[in-house]
Amino acid sequence: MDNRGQLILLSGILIAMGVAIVALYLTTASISGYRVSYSPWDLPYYEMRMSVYEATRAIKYYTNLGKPSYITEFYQNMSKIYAEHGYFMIANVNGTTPLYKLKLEFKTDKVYLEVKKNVTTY
Amino acid sequence: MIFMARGQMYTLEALIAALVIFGVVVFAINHSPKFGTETKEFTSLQLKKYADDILEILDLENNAHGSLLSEWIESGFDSRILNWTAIDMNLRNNLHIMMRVEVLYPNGAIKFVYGPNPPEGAVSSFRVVPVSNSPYAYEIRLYLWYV
Repeated sequence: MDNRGQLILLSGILIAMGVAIVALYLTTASISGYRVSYSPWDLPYYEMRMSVYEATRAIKYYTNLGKPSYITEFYQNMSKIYAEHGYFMIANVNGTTPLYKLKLEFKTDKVYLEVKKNVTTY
Repeated sequence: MIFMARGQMYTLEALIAALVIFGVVVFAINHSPKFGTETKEFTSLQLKKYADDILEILDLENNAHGSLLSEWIESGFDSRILNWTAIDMNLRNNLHIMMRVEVLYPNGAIKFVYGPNPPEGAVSSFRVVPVSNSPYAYEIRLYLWYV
């Protein structure tokens, strides 16, 4: 009777230890890894911000050079480059100097961004 | 009574042994170097941030709405306008980071290269830069990796 009691107690302790170690491991390794790594990679915030910046800058750049007809072709080339990196990016522009209307769509499998923006050329 | 006292001692012994083992395991986990997923992902994110920032600074808009990068491409990659060797040396000596930069046509053809081939796991960032003499959108791609 006495021996059986000890075995029950010992097995209880061993199970408790196992649970504690597993809990500790999961907390230190997996969850913090998930928190650090998952969300920033999932949201291409830099690429989204840069696509808007580059599209806006192109309007100012080419109109300043007196070559506004280059803008559309530049946008087509931009789309190709973004597509190569796995992003769907389309930009359209309407208007004339000094005011253009830019419409930009940016899409991944998890994010959709649509920007409509008035761009002055000076 | 004698047997019971021995049983209690065994239990106490097992309890102490378990505590010692548990303590050692906790200590080992806390003090072991963490080269797991967390560190690797963090390192990659840090490199991505460096690459993004380098390109963003070099592509800051000037008065003519171009940038240092567009001037550099127009000049035929003149190192007096943009010296990648200096940037490379800074990264290597101060941050222990290696780099490779590529300038690509929109069709993916490489027009300019500086630096060795990036290893697997290198992190890259890119910019799209206009030039004055054509509607080409040139891609500047920067790879970074730790030495």
